[in-house]
Amino acid sequence: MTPERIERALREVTREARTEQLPHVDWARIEDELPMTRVHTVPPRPLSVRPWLIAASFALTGALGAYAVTLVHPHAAPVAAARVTTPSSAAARASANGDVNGDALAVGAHVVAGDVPQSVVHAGHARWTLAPHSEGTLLANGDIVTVRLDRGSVTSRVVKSSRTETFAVEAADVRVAAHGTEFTVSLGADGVSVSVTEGSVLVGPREEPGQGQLLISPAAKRYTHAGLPIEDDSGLEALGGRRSPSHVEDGATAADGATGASAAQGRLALEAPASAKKPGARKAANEPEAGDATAASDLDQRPSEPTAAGLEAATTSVMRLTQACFKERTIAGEGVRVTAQTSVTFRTLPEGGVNRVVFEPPLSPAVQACVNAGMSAIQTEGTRNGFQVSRSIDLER
Amino acid sequence: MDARREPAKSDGATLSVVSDGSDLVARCRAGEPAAFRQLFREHRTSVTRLIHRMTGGSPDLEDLVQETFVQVHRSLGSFRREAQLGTWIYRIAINVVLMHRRALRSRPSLVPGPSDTQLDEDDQPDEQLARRRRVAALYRLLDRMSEKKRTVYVLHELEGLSPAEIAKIVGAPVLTVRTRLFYARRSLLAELAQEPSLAALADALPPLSDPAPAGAEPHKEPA
Repeated sequence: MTPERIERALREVTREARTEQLPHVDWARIEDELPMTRVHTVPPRPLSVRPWLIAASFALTGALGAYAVTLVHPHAAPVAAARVTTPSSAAARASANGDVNGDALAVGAHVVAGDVPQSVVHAGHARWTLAPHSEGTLLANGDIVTVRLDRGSVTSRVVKSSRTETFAVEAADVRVAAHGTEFTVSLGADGVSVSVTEGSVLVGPREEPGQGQLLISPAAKRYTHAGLPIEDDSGLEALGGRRSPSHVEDGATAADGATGASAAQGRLALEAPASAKKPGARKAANEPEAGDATAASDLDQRPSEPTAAGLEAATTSVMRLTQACFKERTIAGEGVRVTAQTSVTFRTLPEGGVNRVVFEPPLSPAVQACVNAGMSAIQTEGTRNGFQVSRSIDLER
Repeated sequence: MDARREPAKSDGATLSVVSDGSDLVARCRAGEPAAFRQLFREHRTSVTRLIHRMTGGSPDLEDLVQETFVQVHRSLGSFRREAQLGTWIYRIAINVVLMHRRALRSRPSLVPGPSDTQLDEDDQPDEQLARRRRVAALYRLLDRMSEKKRTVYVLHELEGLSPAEIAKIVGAPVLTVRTRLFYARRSLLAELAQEPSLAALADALPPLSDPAPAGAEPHKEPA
């Protein structure tokens, strides 16, 4: 292949890319969720005595309308009104379609739904909808919106963002944080139910944002008010979800470990890969002495996808191995710093373990050979068909 | 780039009016409800095209477009008119894409196996499928490139912007843009043969000095 041909091929494929048709884009949906009617973001007002007084007087004079949004404490003065009216700002008045402008709501605003669902819209950010006769309180507004579910059920749809966490719902001592997700949180007398229909949420203790158990859609799970997972999943089907992957694994689940470890603390623990918690599980899958039927049954019971923790653990293991091999097998003189940027793709076996690691662009044969030799020692979560992971990696010696 | 040409019909003739977006920005700042909608509709296609090319067909395309316009909306107050509106929006879109790519790099992603995409693609005519594969291969090559080189290559070769316009968008001297373009091309040429579909394209190209087939009439230039 001559350089001239390569150059012409590049010109040709560039021309093809230039004339390529754009994929279908749902303009209407994007436009619907964009902040069209306001120019400057209303900064969230901190909860202080003054808004409380204003809200209290407002509640006394006019909040006995059909629906009400007032600045009151949910447990101190339940709102009897059945319809949303303006809170502290007229800008929060429900729009023609009945939605409340969440950007104009002050922190601490209490929203009560009447006989019909009530939606609150944070333009370009999130929409949360209270089920009939449900109540919620806005705890934070701005880049991160946090809603406390005081009663009933709330369904949230969150716009994806490059930021890691933009929306959260708190119910009792449970915090459900979302990133580009549609999910429902229900607060009942016996606990908190979380159902994820799109994307994923992190369910964890209210006091420790960023900690908890990842639920990937479609999934549903129940928690005690203290935030402990309830292993009796009866009624999950009613929520329209499936068991989270950690609950499908044989016998004691990953969440069991989390439950046991965290029971004393009364809060959730970060979910760990099942393979790490049950070293015998992989051996049993690999060596079906108990009979092929048992082995096949174990295989069927494996989740189709790894848990988030399992995915992270496998990735971390491969990354560490690669780093170690790069350091060991890259030749450089004293004081010379060698760096490389590549992407690593690896595939796991259904019974756990890694069977292939590929770098693109490739690393030196010595480093690749080192990785190939070391990958047999990596343990991963077993899944029905194995899984493949790809990510960028920066190496340095 | 920002001097958009809005076609206006007049007795069957198509006129072009040039708008610099300043009026639109003023209306957006004044809080006119329809102004931002208009801004979105005028720039959505170019922004989407740019993001699609910068990401090589990311499934998050719609989210990135939306995030770009949210950022545009939030930043309108700081738009100084030192740049044209379109240039400014392009800059925001590129930043959104770069942030997205950095976020992706920091977390592992499940990669669908080859069989996952095979079914859809098999339904397409051969040439269309081959073309899609070649374009996808180009995006893979671009994906391996540094962000700076990829950005200037996409803006110049795919978006058709001049080095001077790119310099304003990326905030670098024109000479630097030209240098990045040179290295981007060199990198692509060096790696092109590694992609089977592009190597096949190079092999299939007819030679430049293709001799006329035997018996064919020689082409005569008109006098």
